[in-house]
Amino acid sequence: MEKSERSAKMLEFVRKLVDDENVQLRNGFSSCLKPTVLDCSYEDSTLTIAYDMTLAHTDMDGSVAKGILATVLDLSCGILVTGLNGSSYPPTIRINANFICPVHTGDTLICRSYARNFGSKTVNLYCEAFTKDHDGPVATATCVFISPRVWAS
Amino acid sequence: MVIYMSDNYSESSLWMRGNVESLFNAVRRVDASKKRITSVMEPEFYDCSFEEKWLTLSFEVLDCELNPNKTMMGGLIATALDITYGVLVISLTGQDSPPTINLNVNFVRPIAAGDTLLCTAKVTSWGKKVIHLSCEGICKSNGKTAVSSTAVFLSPDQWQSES
Repeated sequence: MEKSERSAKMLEFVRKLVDDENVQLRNGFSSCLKPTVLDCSYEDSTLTIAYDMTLAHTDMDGSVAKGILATVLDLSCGILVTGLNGSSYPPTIRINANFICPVHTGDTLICRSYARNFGSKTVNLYCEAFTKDHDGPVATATCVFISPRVWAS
Repeated sequence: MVIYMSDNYSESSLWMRGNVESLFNAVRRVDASKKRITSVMEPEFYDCSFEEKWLTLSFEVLDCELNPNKTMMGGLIATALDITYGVLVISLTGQDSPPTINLNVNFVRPIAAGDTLLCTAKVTSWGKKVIHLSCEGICKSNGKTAVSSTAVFLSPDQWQSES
């Protein structure tokens, strides 16, 4: 199905945002997550991002650290908020993450984030992470962000 | 400056502290080149009590952990909390840490570059199936709460019987 003009613009904006952040924070940790924006829909308020999991993301037991999974879920929601509003990245107020099964080095994590409510003060989002080896989600999260309008003021 | 409560340690708390230091030494040995996130964040032992089942680790905020606002990235704060929970469970049992099932994080204040995050994790309840924990992170520079969190871990017994 062809993308609407708004969704195409949002996709372009989000891809540029991720590239810019990778350049700006080339020595930072978020750039080592190397997010790749796959798809988005402005009308449905959704965004899909892929992350390649490497040794840098692992715990001593060899699986991806749960904090890193929380990071990618948080980052996916943050990028969605920014993409929908076309503004700077607002801070997270709360994240509640559920870890369903372990993720390993070499896995590609596909994160789908949905904005459930874009209020005047806060934005409520939901995010699911999938790998190709597991049927259902491997991790889910609900996030609350400060609304970009409040953050900007 | 790292402050230890060395004069207040009971024998059990000394054993607990020994477990933490053995774990950190093992991590440094296995991952000497600091490739994994657990080594990159450089957690350090700060304080603990076996009797009260709590542990404090310190995390210096490094340049590589900053977000575009030049404060510690929220996801890495969650990682620091998860590390603290895991180390608390390991130090109390002397066994490998079971996996995290749920992590709930409330971000209260930003943590600036150069500051140190002190994470104090505490066992709320230790059941047969799951362990409930809570954690508070404070900025060392001003003593203010930066983050509060709760987590659920699988209990070590349950984890071993499943694996």
